[in-house]
Amino acid sequence: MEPGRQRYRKLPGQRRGFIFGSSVWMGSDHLLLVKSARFREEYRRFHFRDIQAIVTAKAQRFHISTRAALIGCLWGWASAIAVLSALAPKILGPALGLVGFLLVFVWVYQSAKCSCRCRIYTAVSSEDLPSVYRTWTARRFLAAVEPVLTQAQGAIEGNWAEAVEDREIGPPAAGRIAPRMPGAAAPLPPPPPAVQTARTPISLFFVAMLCLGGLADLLTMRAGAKAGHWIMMGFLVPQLAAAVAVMVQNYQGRLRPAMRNLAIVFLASVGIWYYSVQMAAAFAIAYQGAASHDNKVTPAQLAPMDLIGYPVSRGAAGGIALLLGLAGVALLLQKERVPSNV
Amino acid sequence: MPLPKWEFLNGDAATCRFCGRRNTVRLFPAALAQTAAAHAETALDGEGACFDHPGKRAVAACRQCGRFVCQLCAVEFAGAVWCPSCVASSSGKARPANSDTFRTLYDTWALATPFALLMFWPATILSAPAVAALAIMKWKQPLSLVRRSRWRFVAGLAVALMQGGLWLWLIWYTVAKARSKA
Repeated sequence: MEPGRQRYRKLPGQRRGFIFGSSVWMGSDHLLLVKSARFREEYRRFHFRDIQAIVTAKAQRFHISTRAALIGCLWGWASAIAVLSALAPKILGPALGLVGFLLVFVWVYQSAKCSCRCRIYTAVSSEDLPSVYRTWTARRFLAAVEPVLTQAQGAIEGNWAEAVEDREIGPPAAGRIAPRMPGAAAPLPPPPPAVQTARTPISLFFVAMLCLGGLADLLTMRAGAKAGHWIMMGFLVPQLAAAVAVMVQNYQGRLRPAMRNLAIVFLASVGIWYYSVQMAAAFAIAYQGAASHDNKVTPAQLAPMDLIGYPVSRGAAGGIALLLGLAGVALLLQKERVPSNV
Repeated sequence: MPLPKWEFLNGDAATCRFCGRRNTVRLFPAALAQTAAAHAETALDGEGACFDHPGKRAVAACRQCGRFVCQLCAVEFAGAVWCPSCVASSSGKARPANSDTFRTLYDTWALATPFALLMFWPATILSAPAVAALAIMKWKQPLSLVRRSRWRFVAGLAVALMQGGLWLWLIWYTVAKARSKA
């Protein structure tokens, strides 16, 4: 053990990403924010006596954690096994479709309605805590941290709202650090904030394609695999193109981040779905090869490669697209917010 | 970015004017504390002076080396006062005062590499000894601040040794077979 090494206790909340992760730990006199990138960890320390405020703001956080991805993979494998079994079209297929729909619905609901951003302020810094991104985690985090900070600093008595009215919390703004040079030109006023909207022709097209594609996949589930395959591909290509265009428009500052998040979720779900279907096909071919005790793969055995057009996979893709399309409609119907300079 | 003042309008809760979101603010006394700029006072005759600033009055002694430090030089950390040079060198007792801002996780390298390279298995002939060397050379390097176990090193070393053993067996088997044919 290293000499003088601190003992840390983990605080509620952990962000588990495929590459990046984050967590917050409590030491003897400070909080330690750990941001990890698989082979490297970065640390930020916030001493108890320096923490001025902790702010939690409700926000949408569409984060796919490794745990959520594992659940998705399990669902994909279960679907693959169901496709291979005789019960698939009758019982398992619809049941798994419903489970998949529920899983996506729960994830979207949690990400949109039960998520938050948590930020910690000291006199010289303000830092996001990426590991605290669900409201219940934020409650538990505050419940664990608040008594310790109160013990270290004491509690504010009286009407503190008045006391902080003429005081800046957090690090000073950049403009206030530099002294004003005599004779220098007056600083330019800040540019007016760009009006971001969710309604552009591209976003309307994207949402329309999601809804129409999802409906088409679900309504034609009983159609032949080949026809279903072409129906799905016919919608998938414009959906992908529109998702990329939505991200470009957001990068240009013309579209709200919520619509960009929807595009990211769509692209991620298409990737996961395609990977799951291909994995299922690979398992099916391997299973058939093992059952026939024949090393040579016949054209008939390669049939699972066409799993994309099968009802279960089409139903799953259609359900996801329709759900995301409905989320997009909700975004389009939201009131436009024009930022004010007040 | 400082907190906007309007966040304190309604107790712990505030609604953002830009996005309409409801925020929860927990404020602590540090927000109200006056932060005066540190300045060292001039040392009078007979008073202890700072080691680095002989004209300034000493306010404390470094816990590591015992040198007197003035208000400017005193570095408070972990309930003690240190001088800047001890913090910079992070030797002895002052080691925890020099806080790492990042660490490379060699144990994760040692564990992940042999498994990741299984997908390109011929590369394991090179990676196996490399991982074994890495695990042995970096065994005493500090690990993550929050993880205490070295099991990743052990597991990575075990897998690397197994891969190396398999390669040695394969080479021995190939050579033996070639000899028997000859």
